[in-house]
Amino acid sequence: MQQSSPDVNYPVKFTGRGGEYFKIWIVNILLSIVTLYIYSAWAKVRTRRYFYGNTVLDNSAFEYHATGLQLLPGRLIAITLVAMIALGEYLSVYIVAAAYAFLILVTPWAVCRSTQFNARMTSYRNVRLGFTGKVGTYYRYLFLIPLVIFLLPAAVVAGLYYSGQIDQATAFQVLPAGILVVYLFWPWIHCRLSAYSIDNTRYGTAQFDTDLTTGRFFKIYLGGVAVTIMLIAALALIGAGIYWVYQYLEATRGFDLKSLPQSEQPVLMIAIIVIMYAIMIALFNYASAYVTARIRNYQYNRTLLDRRFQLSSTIKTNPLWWLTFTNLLMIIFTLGLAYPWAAVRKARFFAEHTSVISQYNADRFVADQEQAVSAYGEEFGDAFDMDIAAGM
Amino acid sequence: MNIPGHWFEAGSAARYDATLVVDAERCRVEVDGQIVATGDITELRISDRVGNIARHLHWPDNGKFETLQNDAIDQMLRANQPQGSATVLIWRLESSWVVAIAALFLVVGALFAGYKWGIPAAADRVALSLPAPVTETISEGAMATLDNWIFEQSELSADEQTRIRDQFSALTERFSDSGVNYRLHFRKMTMNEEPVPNAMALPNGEIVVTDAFVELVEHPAEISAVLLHEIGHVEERHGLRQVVRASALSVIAGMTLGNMSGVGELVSGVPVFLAQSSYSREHETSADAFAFDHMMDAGIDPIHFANIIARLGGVDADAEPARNNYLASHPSTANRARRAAELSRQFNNRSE
Repeated sequence: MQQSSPDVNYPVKFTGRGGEYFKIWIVNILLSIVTLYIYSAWAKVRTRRYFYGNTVLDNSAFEYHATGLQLLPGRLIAITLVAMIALGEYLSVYIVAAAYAFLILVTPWAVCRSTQFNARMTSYRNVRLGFTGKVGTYYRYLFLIPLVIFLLPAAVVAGLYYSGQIDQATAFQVLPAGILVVYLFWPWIHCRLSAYSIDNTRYGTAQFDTDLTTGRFFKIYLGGVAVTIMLIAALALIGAGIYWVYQYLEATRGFDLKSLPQSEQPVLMIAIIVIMYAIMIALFNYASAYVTARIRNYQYNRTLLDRRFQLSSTIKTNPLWWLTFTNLLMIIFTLGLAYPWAAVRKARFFAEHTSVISQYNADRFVADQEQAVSAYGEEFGDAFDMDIAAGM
Repeated sequence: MNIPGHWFEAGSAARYDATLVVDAERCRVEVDGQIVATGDITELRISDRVGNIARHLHWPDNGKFETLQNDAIDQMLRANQPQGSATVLIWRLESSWVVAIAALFLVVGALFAGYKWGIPAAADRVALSLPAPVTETISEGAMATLDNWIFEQSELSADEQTRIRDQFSALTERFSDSGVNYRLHFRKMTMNEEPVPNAMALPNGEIVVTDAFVELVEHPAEISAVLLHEIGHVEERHGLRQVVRASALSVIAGMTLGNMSGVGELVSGVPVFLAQSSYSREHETSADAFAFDHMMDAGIDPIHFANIIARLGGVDADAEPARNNYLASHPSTANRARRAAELSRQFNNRSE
């Protein structure tokens, strides 16, 4: 090991191609249908292997090790639960309430186990990742703390109600505010959980270390809110401008929308609704790109592996927003057919903005002891669309 | 056969440029001319081919040889283990554009067939086998929700209620052997302070008519027409079938679209909504046919159905058909009324 050699930037590359993935994707779907969903476990493995195997760092690709047989039992149990809940929704509100309570209770476990499983099933250069995070910590951040934060305002409301200062209807109107309060604390929860997840991830015997501050997370989320408000204000101005032009035309040229034939009016209404919906999605995408880019950059740029390898992320809001928005449009206008190209574009974008900086190379890393892990948490989170990445 | 690649010792990330030398069923890895590993090809764990990602040859002691020479590895495998053909077959399927296009047509066909016949058939079977208490639970829950949020006490006079109830009992007698306990409820329903004319049926045989609907009626036979339509929903178990179909649709849409990262949430609701509306239109048409059959059987002119449906929809039976057919939960009023008018002509010809 030469201490004096200069830092080298090892960029991550993504070598997958949309057309190639399309062929894998469509065969996966067909075989999943033909086998009544059974094959989907193998389909997931092949998809993961394709994306991992095309993510290349310093001339070596990542490898995904899970097998379809490993994923299948958890996958079948989870999808059965999803179906039962979907039907139960019509049976009684108690089943819905029980299902949500169950989901809330089980999410921390699923997030932790899924992170562990995915780490264990990933290797780079013959050395696997590992995860030593404890389920208890996930319960603290994703269940206990939000519950306490929610119960405090709820207790205040209950107090006001029982002391006769507000009536029942008002109490039920104010109660959802408790959920908003939980959201106010989200940047803090996100930061703590993110730091915990990174600090408990290993590459072989080497440890990842990060140093994240809550203040920065609050600043990023606040920025996201500010950007959204500014965009809404800008749109309101544009809307007002259009309305003014319309009124001007109405007054000077006698132009009147109401003169349109009766049968055209629903079409106009639908057009307006679609445009409003598209603007809303674009806005939401922008705010989400703003927050995602900044948080990812902050996490990566504050993370070291083995105190010698610096992670680096250089995502900017505008390109990320453009990527997600055009991907969405592509998928909608091709009725889903463009999905493989969209997925490859996204993977390439994230890879191209990621690198590892070090004066060393990866030769010195060694594997740790193998541990048995189960795929139940991963498949559960998958079926219920849980935001597993929230932990990271 | 010599295959270039990289060698990793067990448990180490150190990477060596290496060559895999294949000699019939044996192979060895050489680094700088030195042999670092040997083995039988059958005892290696070799990763399946996916696209053109690197192949991994895992030695039993966790050493690994990695290469991008997929074709050479396949050639080596073909010579040594012809039984490992299932995974090779899948890679073949995945690498041909002809197969991909054929698969695309098959998938579209399968999705369409599933939506058109598969889900309805399977869901109907489930719906018809649901035990009576489930029907009761669903209906009671729905009625309680409606009473809590939508309905108010009826303001119809007791006389009028009794008159309609008598008419209702006369109709339900026709279906006494179906085992459904038919009950009629009067409720007031308003939206933005405007009274809403409406009639609906719950799966357990509870039928609700709103005050505004009763006020809209100009001929007693019109009430019978609408009540028969609602009884048709109950007799043919449309409510339950809808519920099971809707659940099946949302699960399947979630499974197929949900994995399209980020897209699922925003977009999957639209096709599900469209598909549900189409199932619902199918049931409305079927309940209409049911009502027409029983009206003619009971000697009621189907034109009364056309009249009340036209008044409910506020559209003349001769008006142009509604164009947004794919969005509606009901068939267009004009189409339904036209069908009733057609049958009315047959009815009157027959009775002459």
